Amino acid sequence: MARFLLPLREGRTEPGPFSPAALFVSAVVAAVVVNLVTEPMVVLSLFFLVLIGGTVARTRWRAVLGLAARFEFVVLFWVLLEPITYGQTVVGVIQTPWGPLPVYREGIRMGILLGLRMVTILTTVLAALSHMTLSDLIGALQTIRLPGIILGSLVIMMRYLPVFMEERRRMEDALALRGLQTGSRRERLRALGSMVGTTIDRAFTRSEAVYDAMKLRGFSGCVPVTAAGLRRTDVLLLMLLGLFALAAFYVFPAVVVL
Amino acid sequence: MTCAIDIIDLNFRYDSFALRDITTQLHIGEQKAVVGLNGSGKTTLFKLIVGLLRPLSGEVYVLDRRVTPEDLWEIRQQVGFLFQNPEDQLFAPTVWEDVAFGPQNMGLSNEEVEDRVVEALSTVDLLDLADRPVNQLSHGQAKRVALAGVIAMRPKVLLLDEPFAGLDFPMVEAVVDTIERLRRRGVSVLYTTHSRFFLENWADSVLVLESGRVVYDGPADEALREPRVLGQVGDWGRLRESIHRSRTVPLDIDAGLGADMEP
Repeated sequence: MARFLLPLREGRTEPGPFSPAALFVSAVVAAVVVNLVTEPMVVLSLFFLVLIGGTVARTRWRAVLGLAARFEFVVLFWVLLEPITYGQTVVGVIQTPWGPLPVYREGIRMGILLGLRMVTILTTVLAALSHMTLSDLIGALQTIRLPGIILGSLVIMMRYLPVFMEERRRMEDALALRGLQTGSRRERLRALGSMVGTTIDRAFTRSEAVYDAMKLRGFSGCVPVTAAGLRRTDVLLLMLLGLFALAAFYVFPAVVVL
Repeated sequence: MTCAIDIIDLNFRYDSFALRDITTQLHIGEQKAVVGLNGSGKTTLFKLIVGLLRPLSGEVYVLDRRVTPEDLWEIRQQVGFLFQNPEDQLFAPTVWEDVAFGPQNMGLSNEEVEDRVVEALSTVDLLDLADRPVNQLSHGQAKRVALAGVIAMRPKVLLLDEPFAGLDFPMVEAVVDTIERLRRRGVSVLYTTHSRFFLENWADSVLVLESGRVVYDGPADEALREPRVLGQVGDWGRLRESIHRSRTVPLDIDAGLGADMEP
């Protein structure tokens, strides 16, 4: 699953010091805090703070950063878009076939800020998730009262997305074995189009079969997950979160000014 | 009560008729093989028994209770259905959670759910895989976990759709052993197969479907004397002769594959 979606742990694991619900909520709150910071250097400092904290907590950085890196296009899109769309102070001009494109100082700063925010938020949330199993995550979402129908859909999606990806890979292999790469571009596009159609068709057929199997075992729209609840040690997490906010709004800005 | 399943004049159609005038019984403690070519209606029949499909006409009774939309959950607690493809049946993150899904939906206490999961996984000899993610199971293991999920609901009747499809011999042995253990506890079994071996050795009676109609319904030992039954499970003698004939023809390596290939 980690290869496709989230860096969740697999199987059943020993419970960590904090409840999954507290961990999940803390990650979301930390993301909000990062989102409120307007100074790029402060966001960068928070990013390093997350890295240090995660290392102390033995986060599986390879899985986390590997997944975060998949969002590079989204991040780069904003980093590169802002300098040419936002601001008033022109610092340079890019010559394009369609005419000159001004680059703004404010846009460069905004692009860097947005990019750093996105990377920090992604890393924080993924790092928190890397300490949970899917069941922990479902339990956490149950604890924060997410509707059962959404939880049910989430469970199915998380379970079957890798299956569909595998299926698509097998179809790609089958096409390659029959010379997909040597065909004309038009043929390749047609084959890939058919593959997408087949994948959707198979996904639909399988989802029907899975739904049948679930109905036979009493599924009525909700997955029977026991809400994980909270633990006393979560108070410590709350304190750490407070320190994070303190660093974000007071300590790091003061250091940056100095 | 003598019938685990009683089917009377059952008709069903998708675009055209899939099942026509099906009448048969599965007696309590009986093991019945359902035989037929692909598309003959075997899986459709199973889906009608557990109410996943609604018949065009006719009646299905499970343990003397008519299958109606109102009673489906009660019926489904009595009848376990093992799909042909376990990939369609397992959906929870781990083996343990998947097996626990049915008992949890039955409203049992956590202790009772745990007892049932341990019992079911022990029955299929997979207790040591309880914590494994279901997407890391081999096909044979997935099949047995799917069976454990069914067993955990302690059904009185089992419907097994191609229970041995795609399994290697040790896995076939393991599944047979598991189902035999259940049968000895009085569970009635209805299963589909294409294998003559299982027809000869592992069925009290046989139901043969051909294009959605019953062409034989009777004792297993008499079934293989019926030419229409042989047509469904394969005339292996004829195939052996065909292969033998083909292999006596000299090789023509230079010919390659092409339009002039003789049948």
